[in-house]
Amino acid sequence: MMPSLSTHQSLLARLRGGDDQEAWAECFQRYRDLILGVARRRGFGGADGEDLLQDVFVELGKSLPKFEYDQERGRFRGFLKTITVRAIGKRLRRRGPAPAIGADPEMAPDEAVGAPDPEFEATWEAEWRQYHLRLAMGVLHNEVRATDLRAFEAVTQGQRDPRAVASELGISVESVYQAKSRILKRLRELIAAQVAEEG
Amino acid sequence: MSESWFLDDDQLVHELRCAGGASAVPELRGYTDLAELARGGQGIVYTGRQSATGRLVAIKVLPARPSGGREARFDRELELLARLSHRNVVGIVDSGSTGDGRPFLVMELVDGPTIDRCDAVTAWAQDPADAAARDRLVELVAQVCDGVASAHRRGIVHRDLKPSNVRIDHDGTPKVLDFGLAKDLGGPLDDLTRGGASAGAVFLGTLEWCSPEQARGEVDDVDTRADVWGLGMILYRLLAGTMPFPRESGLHAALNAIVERPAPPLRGHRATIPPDLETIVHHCLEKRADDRYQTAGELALDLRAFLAGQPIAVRRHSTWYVLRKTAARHRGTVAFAGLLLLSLLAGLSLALVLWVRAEDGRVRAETAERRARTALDFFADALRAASPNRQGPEAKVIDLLRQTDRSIDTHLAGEADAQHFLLTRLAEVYASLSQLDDAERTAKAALVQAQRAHGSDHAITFAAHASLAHIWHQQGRYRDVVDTLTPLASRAEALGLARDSVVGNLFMVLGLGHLRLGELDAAERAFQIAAAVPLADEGEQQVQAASRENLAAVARARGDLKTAVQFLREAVALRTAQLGPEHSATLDSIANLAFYEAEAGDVVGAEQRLAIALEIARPRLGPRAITTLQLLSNQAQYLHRLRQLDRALPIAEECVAGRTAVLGADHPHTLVSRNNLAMIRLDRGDIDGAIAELEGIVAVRRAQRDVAPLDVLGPRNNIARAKKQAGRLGDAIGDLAGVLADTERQLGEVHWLAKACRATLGLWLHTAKRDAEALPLLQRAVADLTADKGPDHADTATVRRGLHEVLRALGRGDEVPVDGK
Repeated sequence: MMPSLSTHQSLLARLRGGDDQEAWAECFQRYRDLILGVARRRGFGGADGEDLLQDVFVELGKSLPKFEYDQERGRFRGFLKTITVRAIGKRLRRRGPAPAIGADPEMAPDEAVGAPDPEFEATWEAEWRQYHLRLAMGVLHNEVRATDLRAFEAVTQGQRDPRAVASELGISVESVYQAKSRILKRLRELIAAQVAEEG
Repeated sequence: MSESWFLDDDQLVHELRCAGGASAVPELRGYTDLAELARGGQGIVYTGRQSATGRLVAIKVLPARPSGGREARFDRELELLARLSHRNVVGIVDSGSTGDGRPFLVMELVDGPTIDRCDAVTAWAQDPADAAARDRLVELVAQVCDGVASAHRRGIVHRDLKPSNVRIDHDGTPKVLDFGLAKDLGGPLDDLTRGGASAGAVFLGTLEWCSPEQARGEVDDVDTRADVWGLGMILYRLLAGTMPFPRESGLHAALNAIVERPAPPLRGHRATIPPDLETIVHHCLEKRADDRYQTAGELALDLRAFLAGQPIAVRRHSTWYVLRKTAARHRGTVAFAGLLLLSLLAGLSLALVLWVRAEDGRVRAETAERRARTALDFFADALRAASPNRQGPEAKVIDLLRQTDRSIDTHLAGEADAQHFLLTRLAEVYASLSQLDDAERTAKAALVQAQRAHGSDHAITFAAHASLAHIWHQQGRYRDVVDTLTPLASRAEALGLARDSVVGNLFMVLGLGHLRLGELDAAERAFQIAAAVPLADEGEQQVQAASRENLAAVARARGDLKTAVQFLREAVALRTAQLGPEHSATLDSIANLAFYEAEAGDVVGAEQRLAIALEIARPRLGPRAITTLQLLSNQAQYLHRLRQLDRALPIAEECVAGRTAVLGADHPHTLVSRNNLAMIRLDRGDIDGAIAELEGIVAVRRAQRDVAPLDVLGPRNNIARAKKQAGRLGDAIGDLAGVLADTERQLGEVHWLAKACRATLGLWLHTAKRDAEALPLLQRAVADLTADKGPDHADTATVRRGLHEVLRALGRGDEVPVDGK
């Protein structure tokens, strides 16, 4: 189960303090799948992704305490992206001349930050959306009845026929539709709040 | 997509589908009762029941098959893991693909406690006097080492060893989880099974256990020795009850500690831990992978030696190994450093005695005494400050050295002479520990102090130049050595200092530089001057022995083996007199002599010499010391060449067993000895034994990553020859044709092995009366041989004769030239 998450701002403040283990654990939990997702889309699957994740967090550990937060929106997001791009570039270089696995070999480590690779931008944005979705779903798990959640997942993610889902779960078709719309509404609210306070 | 994508239901649903959260349990043929255990970025883990056996298993379903050229690596890893069957490893019992094409792996489900929660660990934690509990704990870890070693032999590295990855089975057997999963098979199971909330803690937990090379991000350098580190960390945690590098200080600080800070002494946590056990654990936790046990197998050997109350190998290393390294690198010049290193550990007195004696002739006695006292006081202070008994012998010295080094300038301001002495010794010790940058820095500082104390034309200043140049030599800067020392050597000769034993080193280093640059005459002249230094004391005898070994190297480079043997005989005599017959430097010298003798054609003499050396080495160095095993390997080969096959066989077998245990089954030296053993068996008529041995080599090679083609093709070629010798001509031809095809494909058609295979295969095909097939092979072979070895070479003649027979058999005898050419 997801722990109750502190706001992004207060988490950043604790991380900049440097030594707050729980803050680090939380930060890791928040961004782990995001970075793994980006990594996978850039050709770093499996353990290569884990390695990249480690690179990113080692770098975060070094540079976050020095990271100066200002009110400009998306600042942390850009910071994390920069670190991730660099880490990918470093690993690509290390792979050397061997055919890069699904990744563009021309993505240079540092230049890529100044001149964003449009494909990478899209990857990053897509994973960022997924990240928000996961975060919100984590909250939802604590708020919503298990049956409703299963109904919701079955008709949205599973694309199944609401009538079949209803009979399987022993609830009315009406309830399935209600669950879907209620949970979608709640998701919108949660994500909107997350995006609003995003650093 | 806009910033407010989440406001649109369709987009939101689309994103949810992208999340792929299909939570339906997959249907896997042969497995029932699947229940989700955990999920994460790298897949989902289910428990389930294997229908065929009824046992409970863990099933890991990966998100997708790897693509983009990694399928082969994935399949290969899977195959390796599937073959990894060891009682201390949780292996893969099955694998396959789900209906929608996701790969899954089935593993044995071990539901016992993790090793840090087992009875022995609890009992030891409660009672530091409970030696039985401690030994049970050590035995458990030794078994873990067995499992890890078995994987290492197959080229599989765990990379993530920690207590939560070792579980104790219901019958008390420790089992390592997640082998190989860390690399290509989708990440460790452990991170998933913890899942959700604690994932972050798990990651940090993983970081805590990672090796210095992993912490530095040197992913390419992570190999079996990272697992040795992991095993050391497990031992430390279980024995001390705490981590060596606690993470209370933050992520960055924790990583830095792993890379830089030595682990606090184990016995500082629990004084009841025996010193040998402490030594073993700290040896695993050396920062440089080269300084640790090289395989989990070596570690297991030492743990069992400890349990049996026998001497452990690391201890032996600390004495003879360090000395040997020093002696090998410095030869005579600074073999003194090895002695000094040991005496630093012992308390310095010996070094000072030697030094006072060595310097005696040059400075008045009271000056020497004063200097000795100053130095002794200084070292005593440094020792107290550095609190010895910290960790393994080498790390302890390095700690001490760095502290000492930093304070010399302030403590001995104005004492140029004393500073020179200390800095020179420090440089030598740094060099003997392969810290060449530190060595160069201190040697340069020593030179400055020597010039300040004695002026430019003093013997001691010349010696200081030589010490610095010797460090350059170790750095491979041979041209710098020669350019710097040549004018100094002329000056020393002009001043009549060339016969001073301290200046003798300058000629030795100069000669080494010339030798490496291939300037044999200049090298010889320099070594001769060094060899002419009169024998006065121990240090100078070392110069004499080393200069003779170097003169032997010059002679051999010129192809004059007789002279080389003569010089080496003198060197062996000097080393025996000085260091004793059992010293490994002496034994190395003897092995060299035997090698030269054999090369000069005196195989009988070489074999006898090695037999004597072995009688000394086995009991003194231990039957499995590296030097002993080298002697065994050489002796088996000499006996083979002498056709004393019954004597050669047991020695070759002893060598293979020793190297397998000490170096690991996949070490190149182990495989070379197995090949030699196979050839001995073949010549004794034990053809099946030879083939089995060779097939074993091929299997080990194939299981290795990045194996050179020749390493597999060579033994396969030998297998074909063995089958031919056994009269299985058809099999042999099939095998050799395969070797030829693979050689042509992997190494090219003009590779020597391809040429050799073609000639042999042609002759065999002729023997099998398959002349039409033999013809093109032999035609090409004769052309190649004529071009490579000349028309009159014996091999060319043999193959040409074969070709002519084939032509006649095919009714084309008229194409055979009249003169047979």
